[in-house]
Amino acid sequence: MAATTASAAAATTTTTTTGKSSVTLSLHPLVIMNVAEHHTRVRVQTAHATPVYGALLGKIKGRHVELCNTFEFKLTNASTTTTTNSTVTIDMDFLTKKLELIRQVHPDLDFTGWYTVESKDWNSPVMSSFYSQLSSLNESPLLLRLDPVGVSNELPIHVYETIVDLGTKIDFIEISYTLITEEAERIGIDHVARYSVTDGTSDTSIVSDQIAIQYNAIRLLYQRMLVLLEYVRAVKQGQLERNDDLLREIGSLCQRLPIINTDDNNNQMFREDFDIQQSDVALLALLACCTQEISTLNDYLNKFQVIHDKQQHSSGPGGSFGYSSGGRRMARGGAYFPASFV
Amino acid sequence: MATLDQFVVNIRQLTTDGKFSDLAQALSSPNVDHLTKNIQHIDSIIATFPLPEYSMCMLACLHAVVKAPNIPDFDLFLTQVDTFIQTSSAEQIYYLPQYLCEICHVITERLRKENRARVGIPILYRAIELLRREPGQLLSIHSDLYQLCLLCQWFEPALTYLETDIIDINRENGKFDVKHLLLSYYYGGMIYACIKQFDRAANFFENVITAPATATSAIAVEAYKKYVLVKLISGTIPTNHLPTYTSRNVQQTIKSLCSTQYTELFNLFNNGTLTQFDEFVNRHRDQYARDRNLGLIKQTRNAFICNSIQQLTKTFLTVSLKDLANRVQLQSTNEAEKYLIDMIENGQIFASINKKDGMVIFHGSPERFDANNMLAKLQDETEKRMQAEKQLKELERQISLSKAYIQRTQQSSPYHDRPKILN
Repeated sequence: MAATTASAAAATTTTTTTGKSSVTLSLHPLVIMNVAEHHTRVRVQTAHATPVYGALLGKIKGRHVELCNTFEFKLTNASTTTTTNSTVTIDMDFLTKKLELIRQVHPDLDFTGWYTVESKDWNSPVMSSFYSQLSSLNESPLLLRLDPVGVSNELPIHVYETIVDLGTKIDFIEISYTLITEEAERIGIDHVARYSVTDGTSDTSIVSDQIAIQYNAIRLLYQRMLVLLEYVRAVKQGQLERNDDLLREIGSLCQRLPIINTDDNNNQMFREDFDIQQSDVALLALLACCTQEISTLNDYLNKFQVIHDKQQHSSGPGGSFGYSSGGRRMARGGAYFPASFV
Repeated sequence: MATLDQFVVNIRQLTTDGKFSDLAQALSSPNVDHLTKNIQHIDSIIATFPLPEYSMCMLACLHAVVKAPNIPDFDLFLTQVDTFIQTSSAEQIYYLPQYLCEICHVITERLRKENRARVGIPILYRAIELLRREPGQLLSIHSDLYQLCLLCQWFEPALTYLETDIIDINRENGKFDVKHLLLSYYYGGMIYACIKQFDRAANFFENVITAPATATSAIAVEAYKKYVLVKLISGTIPTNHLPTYTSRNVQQTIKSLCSTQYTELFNLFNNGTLTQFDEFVNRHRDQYARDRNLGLIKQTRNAFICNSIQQLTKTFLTVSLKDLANRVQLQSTNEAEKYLIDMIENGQIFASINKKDGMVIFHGSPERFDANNMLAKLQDETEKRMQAEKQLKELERQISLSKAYIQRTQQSSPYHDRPKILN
């Protein structure tokens, strides 16, 4: 593979090369989906594309690393510009806490690196600063870069290994990876692929195709109806000759239509039934409200009685409320309920 | 005199410092005796307190004047109180509401004796406006206002306060007496009966009767008498004479005192005739006169006739006017026709009169409950229910957080860790 160099800035401290790597890498599609989702969400919510960063979790077995899951970084004083002067710091407290929580649930997942979503001209000083912040957690973290703008036939994912050269210079060496999936992931990806993939000829996905079909159908119906309307108007004005068969068919078509807004005799019956049903529904709602109110009132009165029960006359049934040993309380006292003053 | 000066200086100081709760403490007894003992100097003291900054001190002085055995110039005092209410600051007054209420009580009493009720109404009206914290709060001044309104038959100021339902009572630092509550509902009921809104009047009287009580108040007894009459006039005759939730002792007192004259009326309405009714009324006329319910009794007679006619609709579909007059024991067919026409206009009955052969045909109710106004009404009612439910929930929340309740529920169960089943 060809070696690629870093961005146009003259003085960089990183280079990217590909070559023999020290680890073999497997990648789960979940990682890719998470990263893509993170990027899309941020882009939609904040209306400009800021680079997003997050952590990679995976299992390290000797020289084989398997990237399983991701979560987002919490950044302090994150800047929205991508100039080389920006400093982005990660909230290390949050990071360590989160890793602890994850360790409790998945004991075999470790912090293996971080991801970013950027194009080919990426922001190297930021990456270096990340590296220095994250090196306390993992001596050789991996960098996964998702390219949002590149167009190619392969996945726009690049994974880099970090090598510290001579103590200060940080090298990012691209390594190759393979994809492995679990069953659950396979189902998810299948679904996504089926409905959102664009075929080569059009720019739209299948979902929008379906909607477009319906739209076209309705438009066609409307145009046909306009034609019929024109015809009937013309016959009425005498411009065209009258064809009884055709008029009969149009008449029967009209009678099949719903009767809600017509002004002929059907309207009266419909209106009456509609009104009756409307007031029935409103009445039911009122009944529900009243019941709710009575239930609240009942609760209130019960509590009221609990407080004031020593004013109960001894001639009332049971004398007191009969607190049985289970702590249960009878809801009904004697012949005396406090009236409400509403 | 020295202590008085000292006292005045002290309260001035507290006012300028803005320590209102301390000031309230200083102005309530026994310290306020300084003012009452030196009542002759009170005018000069009042002059030193400009409003609205010194509202509390002014209020205390006015209160001292009121407490004195006799007020030298009552009209001057009235104007003083009026200007005070109009220019004082409400937040200071909130600390000493009971003083203002007592002033109002004394004013009311005095005006009632002198038959000058009309003068006091604006003062009391403004006092209520000033003192109440929210539209649904009841003060003891309300009962005074209603009393004055009844005395001079000018109901509008009272109605503005009667329309809003009461959801709270201002404690007035412990001086709010249950008598004021009962009186305000009793007078309110009377006012509604005067303007012929009998439903709401019956509701108010019912509130008086069913107020939880360990001892029966005379107000409740009087309220019961009017309750019976108003309930009969409004046309809805309940199966029980009293709501089941009246306190036991109120029930017993009413049974012993009023059953012959008033509770009997219920039975008469259901199964009696007009002559029996008249006879009964005549027998107890003295009692009614003593209770000053004669006016209501006359209206009850009307209601009795309407009720009899309505009972006829349950048995007949058509009836001749003559037959109607006979059954209801009216004097003539003309009178029967008059009553019928009134009732049809009021919507109490659905009938048509055929003049040619003097037949009356009774119809069913033409209301089918499907018009738009019915829908609007239903939605309105639903809104009100939801409002009331919100308030109830708030009350319930307060009570379940109250100390007494938590203590009681902890006491009840010997096993503190067992989950309690509270519905």
